[in-house]
Amino acid sequence: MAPLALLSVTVLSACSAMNTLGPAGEPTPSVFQTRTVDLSRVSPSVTVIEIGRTGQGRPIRVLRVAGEGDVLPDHRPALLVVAGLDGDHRVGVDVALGLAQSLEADHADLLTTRTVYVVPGVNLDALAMHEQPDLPARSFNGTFTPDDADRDGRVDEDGPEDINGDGVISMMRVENPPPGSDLVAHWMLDPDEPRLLVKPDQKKGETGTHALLVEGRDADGDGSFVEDGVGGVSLDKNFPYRWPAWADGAGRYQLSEPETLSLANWMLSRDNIIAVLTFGPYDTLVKIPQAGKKDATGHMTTGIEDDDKPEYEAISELFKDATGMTEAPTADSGGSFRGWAYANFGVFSFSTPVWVRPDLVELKEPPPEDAEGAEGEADADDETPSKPAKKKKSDDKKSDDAMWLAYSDEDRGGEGFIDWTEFDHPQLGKVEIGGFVPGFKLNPPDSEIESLVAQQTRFVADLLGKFPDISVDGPIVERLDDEVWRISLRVRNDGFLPTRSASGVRARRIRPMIVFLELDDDHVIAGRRATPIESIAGGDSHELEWTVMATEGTPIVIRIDSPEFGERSLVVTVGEQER
Amino acid sequence: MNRTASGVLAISTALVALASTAVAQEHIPGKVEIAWNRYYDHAEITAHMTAIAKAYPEICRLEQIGQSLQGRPMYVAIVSSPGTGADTSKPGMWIDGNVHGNEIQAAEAVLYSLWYLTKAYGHNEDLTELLDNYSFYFLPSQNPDGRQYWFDNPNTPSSSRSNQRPVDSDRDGLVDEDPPDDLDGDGHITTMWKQVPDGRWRRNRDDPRIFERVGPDEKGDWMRLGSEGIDNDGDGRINEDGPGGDDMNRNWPTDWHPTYVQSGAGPFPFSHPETKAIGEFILAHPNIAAGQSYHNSGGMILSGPGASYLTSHYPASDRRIYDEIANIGEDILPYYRNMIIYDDLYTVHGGFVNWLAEGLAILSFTNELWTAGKYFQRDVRPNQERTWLWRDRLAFGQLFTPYTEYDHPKYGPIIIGGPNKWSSRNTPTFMLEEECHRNFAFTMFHADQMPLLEFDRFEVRRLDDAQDTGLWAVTVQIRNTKPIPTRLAIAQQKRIGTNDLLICEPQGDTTLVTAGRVTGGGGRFGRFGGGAGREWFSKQMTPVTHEPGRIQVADGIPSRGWRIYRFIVRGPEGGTILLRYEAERAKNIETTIELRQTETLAP
Repeated sequence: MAPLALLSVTVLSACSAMNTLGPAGEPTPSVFQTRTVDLSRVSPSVTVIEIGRTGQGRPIRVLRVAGEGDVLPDHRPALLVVAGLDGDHRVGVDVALGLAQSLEADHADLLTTRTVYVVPGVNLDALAMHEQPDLPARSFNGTFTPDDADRDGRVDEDGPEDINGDGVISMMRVENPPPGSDLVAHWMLDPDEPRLLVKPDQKKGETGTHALLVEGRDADGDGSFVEDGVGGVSLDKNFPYRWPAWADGAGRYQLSEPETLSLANWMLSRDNIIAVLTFGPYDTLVKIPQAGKKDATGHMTTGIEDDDKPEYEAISELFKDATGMTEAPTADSGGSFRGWAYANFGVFSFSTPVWVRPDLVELKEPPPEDAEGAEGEADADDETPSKPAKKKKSDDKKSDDAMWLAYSDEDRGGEGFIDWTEFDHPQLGKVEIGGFVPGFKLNPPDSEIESLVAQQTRFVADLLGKFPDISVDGPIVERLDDEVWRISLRVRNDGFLPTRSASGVRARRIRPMIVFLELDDDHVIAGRRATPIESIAGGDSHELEWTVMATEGTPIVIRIDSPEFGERSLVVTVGEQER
Repeated sequence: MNRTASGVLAISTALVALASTAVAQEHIPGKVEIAWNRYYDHAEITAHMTAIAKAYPEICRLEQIGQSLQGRPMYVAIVSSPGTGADTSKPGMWIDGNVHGNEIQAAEAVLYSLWYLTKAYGHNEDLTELLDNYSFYFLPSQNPDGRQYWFDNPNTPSSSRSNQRPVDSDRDGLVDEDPPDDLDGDGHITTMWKQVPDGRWRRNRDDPRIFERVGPDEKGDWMRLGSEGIDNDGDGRINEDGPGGDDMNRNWPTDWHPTYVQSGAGPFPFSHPETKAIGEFILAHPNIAAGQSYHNSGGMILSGPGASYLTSHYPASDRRIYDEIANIGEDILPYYRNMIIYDDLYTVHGGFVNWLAEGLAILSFTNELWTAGKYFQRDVRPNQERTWLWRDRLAFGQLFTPYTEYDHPKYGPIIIGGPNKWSSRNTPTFMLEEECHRNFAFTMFHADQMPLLEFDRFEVRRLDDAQDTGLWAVTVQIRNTKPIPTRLAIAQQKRIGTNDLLICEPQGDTTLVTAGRVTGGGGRFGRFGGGAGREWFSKQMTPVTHEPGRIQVADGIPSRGWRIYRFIVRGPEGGTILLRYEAERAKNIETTIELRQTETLAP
């Protein structure tokens, strides 16, 4: 349509302001991208695999961390760690990279039979933008995919701006906004802490005095402020699991973005993944998702399957032991990667923000002999995080923002909050600009990265230790009559997690483990020549038995073939091992 | 058509002079002859499309939107009259078929529509006007591989529904390794029967071709073994993993769920090259305002929702238009019924028309072509015996493979035969033209409901006595003469697509002071919203505070209704303002209004 054509100029200029294309039009590699490649140079057990490109052309990479072993890395049970789906969650990227490094340094033993895939960044375009020194700091977690957020026929025409030039796009608060400005005073100053705004309680006779909005102007003169900025799609709302159609940031359809499509396609080509761990803003480990609840179809879980609950509870304990976290933010999982990984991809799926405010971390004292009982970890002393002492209980009734402000003031020298300063807004007159520093609530100071890497490394090592572990008893052959034999076999899971999650059994995405008796139909009297085993619970086993006809001395092959655990063949010669 | 005094309605410009119809008959001669008493495979369909595009280059072009998994090209025929603007500037209707490979006449219905519309342009007044107002997008087959597989290989009436992406249907690690087998070599997959002591079936005494189920207390002598086939992979089961396995009509974004909730869903929405190509094409054409997808069979005019919990996606004002169109459709299409997918058929997650209707706010139907009721064309239910009479007397036995004996590796001596793949779901060839024509007519009726706008009334009133430049109130009414609104209720509810825009550009010394929508006027609101015309007597105006020269009309112009806007303008007498109404789902209209006192309804 005509107005769109006219506006394309605006679109381009708006994009290029945020884009990070180099002079030759090549996307600038971001710092962590360089580190990703470097890691593979120094480390023989890390292989870098490119699985796709971002909207701006940056390669999305998987680090495959695996040591030498009997089974090829892509056929071992694997953990997939994914970070940087959210462009603001920089700590996840750092910790994921650190994890890849320290796993191979400290846990080489686990990596001979297991594989860890690490995707250190997915929304590389937003992550790279945050590294541009000449751009103001801001919140931006989505993609640069053009989007007419206000449906006015102009695309990305009214985004946030650093109008006071302090190098940060923060918040504006406007006292008694003038009528006709489209701003409404939904907020009032917190009587206990006037730097914060709270919603007025009408029952107490309170009324709103301030409007609160992101720093910027009404660039397109439509009366709305900052209603249609650059981008975009939130990658963590773009997955085909309870996809929130029509919602802001969900995308035009599921996996509409090259980033999400590349990740999903690569994962769907990998049958050996047992569990996924997401480093992102939301938690499923301190507080596990609700079990047994279904969506409107009656078939799709909104949390986890009942049968997976015991394992989630146990892994949650491991996680809390490793990190000390007592609380972490949660959110609905519609359209999320973690939800998709669980319910569609069909594996255990965990998610953690990696870092939370220190008052939400319980310091683990060196356990007294009787306190933790037999479960006390031998190495608990080494892992005790050096955190400031826990906040007092009286803090509990404070609001989340008040706690963040206290943390900024007391522990961070005030660096998390920009004091409100007056500014003469070209359209609104007197406003105040300030508020929390973008990303402050998600990302710790760099000095904490190392200990966070240590925590997550411990957790991942513990998690790998709980992986399912297949072993086989037998086969045993008994003679029933001349040339008639009974063959029995037991397939055991010596690990803690089941060989496949209940969600995976439901999802039926990949075939089950199959035990093949390699003998033609005419020689099998009883028993199935191909026996599917959907899942074996931790510590449990599956018994198989066949009655066959064969001349003494005939070798019979039993082949166990599993998408997750690879293939092994056992040969038994009938008559040889007879008791 | 052009009732505006000074309006510039582009659609009135390019009516092609109708060729004199010298031949005194209803038949419209065409440049491409196609026989409509037979079916065509994918290559033949493509060849016909190419011939039509070549014969009518001024109104028809082919665009390759992609190719199927097996590399068959997929062409959309874009039909648009060039004199009335680009295809994307007019409301468009999407018409496709055959997403299920075996539902073959769907592609002929689309091809027929393309053929008839192109040859009728310039010959038939109604269709010429329709094509001047609207554009059309025809895709005969969404599933070329499935269609071709159905033609080329032994099948049942229901097999080859899916595309040809190999799927490990029995999850044994092998794909498509145990398909049905044409054991009797007749080119069809028919049924295997075995005579047994305790069967649940017996053969009809008068007509042994008919197998009848015995009653619960009776003893039969035949066992039904299912479709023709052997245990190809030696796993003890027969025909458990045939070609394909995905249902492409479950692969669309709206309410998509994975295979354990919706079988055939595929790995994720748009996971197939075919669905992705179609999806991208439709997303790139926001002018598409109506949709039709052909399937077989059952004689149904289906609309969504596909699931009981989504009825709110069809608000009452939208539903009324669906019903209005479908109820006329029941007359155009004898033995067809207006039905709701989830309620009258079955639950569908991720269906195509559901994506069109709910995801994109395109008013869409699925027609299930052909129903057994048409065998007899009387209000009698077809039963087995009557059906056999039909097959014998009208199809001369061509729909049946006589039973022959076969020595089956698993079942021993059996008989194989019965109704073949042409026997039940496709329209009998001698009735194909009628079926195509009636459905074509239904879609042309549907297309004619798409929005058509006009500035149908205006008033200019002088507000002051200033000599040189005065203050004027210019009031205009934008009318949609058609039933489909420019913004369906679902579009407003879910913020689908771009808002309509009303642009005012003052010319010369004229300036725009403010503007607003005229409301009120007393009385109850009309059935389709708006104030039943009494706004013309109202001074109430909901002001547009920002950008009065570019008014966002999020609720669009309603079904057969109007919106009235007033512009307060300062300028000399005789000065002008240009007004333009822009909508994704309607052709833009433009008019120039002079600042000169007109007659007014209100004193």
